[in-house]
Amino acid sequence: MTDLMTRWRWMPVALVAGVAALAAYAYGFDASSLQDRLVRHVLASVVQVLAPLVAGVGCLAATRVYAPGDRERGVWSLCAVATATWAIGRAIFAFQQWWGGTAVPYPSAADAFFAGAYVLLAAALAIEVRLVLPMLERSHRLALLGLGFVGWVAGFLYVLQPILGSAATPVQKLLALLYPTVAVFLVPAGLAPALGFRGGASAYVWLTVALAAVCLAAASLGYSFLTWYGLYSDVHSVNALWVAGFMLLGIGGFWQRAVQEEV
Amino acid sequence: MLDARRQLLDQVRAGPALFAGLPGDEVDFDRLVAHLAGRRFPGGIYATDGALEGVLWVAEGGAGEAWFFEESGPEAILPAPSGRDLLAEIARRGGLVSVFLRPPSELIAAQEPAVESAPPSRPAPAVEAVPAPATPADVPVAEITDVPATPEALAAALAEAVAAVSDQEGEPSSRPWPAILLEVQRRLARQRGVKLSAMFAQALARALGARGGAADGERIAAPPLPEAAWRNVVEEAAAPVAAVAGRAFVDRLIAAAERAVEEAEEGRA
Repeated sequence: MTDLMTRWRWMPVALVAGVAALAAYAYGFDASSLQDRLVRHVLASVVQVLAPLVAGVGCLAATRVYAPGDRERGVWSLCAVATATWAIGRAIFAFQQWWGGTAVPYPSAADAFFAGAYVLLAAALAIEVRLVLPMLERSHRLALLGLGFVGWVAGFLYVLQPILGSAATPVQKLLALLYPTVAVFLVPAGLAPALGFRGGASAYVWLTVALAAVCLAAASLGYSFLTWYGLYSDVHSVNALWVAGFMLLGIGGFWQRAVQEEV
Repeated sequence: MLDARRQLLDQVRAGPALFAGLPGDEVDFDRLVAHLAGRRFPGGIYATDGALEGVLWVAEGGAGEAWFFEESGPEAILPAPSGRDLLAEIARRGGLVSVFLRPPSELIAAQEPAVESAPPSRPAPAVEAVPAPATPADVPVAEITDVPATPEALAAALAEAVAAVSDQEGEPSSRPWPAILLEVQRRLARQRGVKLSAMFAQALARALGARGGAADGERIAAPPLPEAAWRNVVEEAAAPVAAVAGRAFVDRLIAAAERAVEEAEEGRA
C-alpha cells in the first residue's frame, strides 16, 4: 500500500501541471486562425470543468487521512462537494453556450450550482474557523473581520454599486451581490486557520486556500463586472482566475494530506 | 453547631456531583478514596441507608474527617480511617453512595473541632478531633459534572469514574512516556503550529497535575504511574488536538513520537 502511494505521488503534480498548461494555452495566447480560435474556446470550456474536478480530487485526497467523525474531514469533504457542484454548473454553462445558442448564459440554471458551490465552500471554511477560533487572539479576529469588510466595501463601491443601481433584474442583482460577497469573506476565513496554525506546516496549506479565495473573489468581481458591461467571453483572461483559484484549492488539499501523513 | 453541619451537608448534596445514588455494594471504598485523593478531588464521599448517613471529606490529596448523622438527630465526627469503615458498613447494608463537590471552604473553616459532637447511638469507633480539610480554590476539577439526571448520564458518569479509578491499577509503566509526550509536543508545533502545541502543553500540565506530576512545556515530572494512567494522561492532553486536527492525526503523531524516542534510545544504546 505504501509502495502504491509512493508510486502515485506524481499524480497531484501531473494533474495541476496539466490543467495549468491547458489554461495557459486557452487564456494566454491570441489565436491567429479560425481553427485556433475554435480550439481555444473548446479548451477554455474543458478547463473550466476540469479545474474544479482536480480541486475536488485534492480535497478528497485530504479527507483520506482523517478518521470518521474528525471535523476537518467534514471541512475537506464539503470543499470536495463544492468543487463538484461548481464543475456541474460549469458543464451546464458550457452546454448552454455550445448547444443552447446563448453566448453568455447568465443568469441561468448554472448559477444555482455556482451559488450552491459558494455556500458549501463558505460552510466548510466556517467549520474550520470555528475549530481554530480559540487559537486566535482578539486582535487577529478583528483584523481578519476588518480585512473581509474592507475588501467587500471596495468591491461594492467599484463593481457592485453600479450594477445594483441599474435596471438589472433582481436575479442579476442578487447574483452580482452574492458571488463577490461570499468569495471576499472566504479570504479571511482561509487566513484564520493560517494564523491559528502559524509556525506549523498546516499554516502554509491554509495560506494556499486563502490565496485560492483571493483568486475566486477577484474572478467573481471580474465576472460580475464583465457580464454587466457585456464584455465577458469564455476565453477572457479573467477565467484564468477561476482556474487558478481551484488549482490552489486542489494543491491545498493534496498538501494537507501530505502534512497530516508526515508527522 | 449540629445544625450548621447538617445545613452544610444538605447544601453540598444539592450541588454538583461526580456521581450520585450508586448502589453501595458495588463501591470499593479504599480505591475510591485513594483515587479521589490521588486526583486531588475536593469534595465528599456520601453514603446513606436511610437511618444513618455520613460524609467523608477529601481534599488536598488526602481524606479528612467524616461526619455522621442519625435520623433521630445525634451526630458523630470521625477520623478518616474510621469514617471510611463506617461508610463502607452503610454501603454494605444496602446504602447508596454519591461523590459530591467540596463545600465552600469558608463554611468548612467555620466548623468547630469535633468537641461538640454527640455520641452516636450505635457502636462506633473512637471519636477524636480532626483538622478540617483545606480546600484551595485553584484545585483543578475537570471531570465534575452536574448530578446525572438520566440513566444515560448516570452511566456515562459512572464509566468516567470507573475509567478514572483504573488509573490506579497495575505496575508503574516502564515506557519513557515523558520523553514521548515531549516529542509529541515538538512534532505538533512543527505540524500544527505553536498555538495548538501550547494547548497540548496546558492540557498535559493539567492531566499530570491531577496525578501529582508537573509539566512546564520543556520538562515533564511525574511520579511512577501505571500504563493505564499514562494512557489517560495522553488522552486528556491530546483532547484539544483531536478536536481540531482529528483522531487519526493524534494517533499517527503519538505513534511517530514513540518510534522516534525508541530509535533515539536504541541509538544511544
